Formats: sequence, structure tokens, C-alpha cells
Amino acid sequence: MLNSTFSPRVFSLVFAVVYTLDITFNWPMFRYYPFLGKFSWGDLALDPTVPGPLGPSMQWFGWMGWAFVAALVTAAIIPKKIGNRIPGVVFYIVPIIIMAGAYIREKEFILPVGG
Amino acid sequence: MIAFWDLVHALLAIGLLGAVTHQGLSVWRKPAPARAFIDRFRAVNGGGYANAVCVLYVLTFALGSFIYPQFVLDVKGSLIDYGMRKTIFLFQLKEHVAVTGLCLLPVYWHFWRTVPLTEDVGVRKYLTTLLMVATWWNLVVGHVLNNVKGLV
Repeated sequence: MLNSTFSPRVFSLVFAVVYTLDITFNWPMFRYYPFLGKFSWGDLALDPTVPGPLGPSMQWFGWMGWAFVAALVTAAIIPKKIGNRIPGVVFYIVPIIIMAGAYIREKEFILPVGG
Repeated sequence: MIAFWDLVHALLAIGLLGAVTHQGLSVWRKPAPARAFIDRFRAVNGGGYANAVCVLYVLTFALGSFIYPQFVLDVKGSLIDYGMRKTIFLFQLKEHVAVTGLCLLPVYWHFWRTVPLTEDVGVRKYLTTLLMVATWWNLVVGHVLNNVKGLV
């Protein structure tokens, strides 16, 4: 059933676009606080009711969360026949757009401090 | 316990590396008798590796995601304290490279298993090579970061 309707081309393309938007604009679906061992829909640092040190916040799972949901829903809605019309060469640019987003997100670690 | 899962993650990654390297080199091989070692290494039926690569990639990714929070607490925290920003950048890049591979996995499988092998040869070659390079990059970076304390 899933194999007859699910479009892998749509899934990969939508996942790449949404993940790139997520990392570029920092839109995690949720955050994970490894020090607390806790998931949160929002940023706990902005919540005055949460006591004590929070430790680092991980957005990576949340970025993938939006990308996964958007890709799964779109790939299930768009018929496979239409999805298969996406030319294969489109996937040549997928790594480039994700890496462009990754550079924007992570450039603070390679640019001079204060630069 | 985290050391055990780290080891399992590494072993799965090595299995993935073997499968995807066989397949990645096979797509670049021109049909000819395999005499030298490298030719024999890549004289394999590439299509037969697609399922194994997908399963191993997902398992390696899932286990990597499971141990990642501990890495953030133990290793990344120390790297920040030591001001090793470029090393942190390498790891941050590793997570995005891993997601790129995961994102392309359905379409990689699709081009190997449902598209006739005589069509979209270039796309199949590109996706397979990309997965191979991503796997090598992540294994090397992961290994270096795992041992970064002893290297600096």
C-alpha cells in the first residue's frame, strides 16, 4: 500500500528543503535538554518557571522533526506518478542546499570571534 | 554503557563503509576483466548492496543519535571549554552530512531498486558516490573526535 503511493523523490526533496529552512532560521519542532534528559516544545531558557541549570539545548532532533513530518505528509499526498516526474538531476543540488544552510548555521565556529 | 553503544555504532559504521565503498566503486567501473585487487574489489553487483546500505545507514544513524546527547554533555562541553571551535565545527558539519545521507536514502533506494538500471545511470552514480563520501567523512571525523583528547 505504502509502496504504491509513497513517492521517494518527493520525500527526499521536501526533507532537504524543510531541513535547510529549519537550520537556516533555527526552527526546531522541539528541543532536547540532555542535562535534564527532557524534551520540550519550547525554549526552556525563556520559561521562568523552570528552575536550576538547564545545560545545553539540542535543536538537531527538532530540525529533523519538521523535515520528517513535512516530507512524509507531502510524499503521501502527492501521487507517486507525479512525484516520479521530478527529474533525477534535481537531486544533484540537494547536498549543496543542505550544506549552504549548514554553513549559515555553523559559521560562527570558523569565523573570527566578533567577526 | 555509553562506551558499548559507541563501539556498536562504530562497528555498524564500518559495515556500512564496506558495503557502500564496494557499491560506490562499482558504479565507476568500466566493464573489463577484473585482474588487479582494486578491480576485483569493485567488480560486484552494485544493486545487491542497496538494501544493506539502507538498513546499515538507518541503524548507524539511529545509534549515533542515541549516543549524541552524551557526546554533547561530555565531549562538546570540553571542546567549548578549551576553545576548540574548529573541532566543534567539524562535528556540527558531521551531523548535517549525516542528515544529507539520511534524506537522500529513499531516493537512492528508489533509483537502485525501482528505476531500470539502464536509466538515470548518472543520478545513481552520483547518489551512490555521495553516500560513500558522506560515510567516509563521518567515520573519519567521528573517529578523530572520539579520540580528540589523546590527539591534542
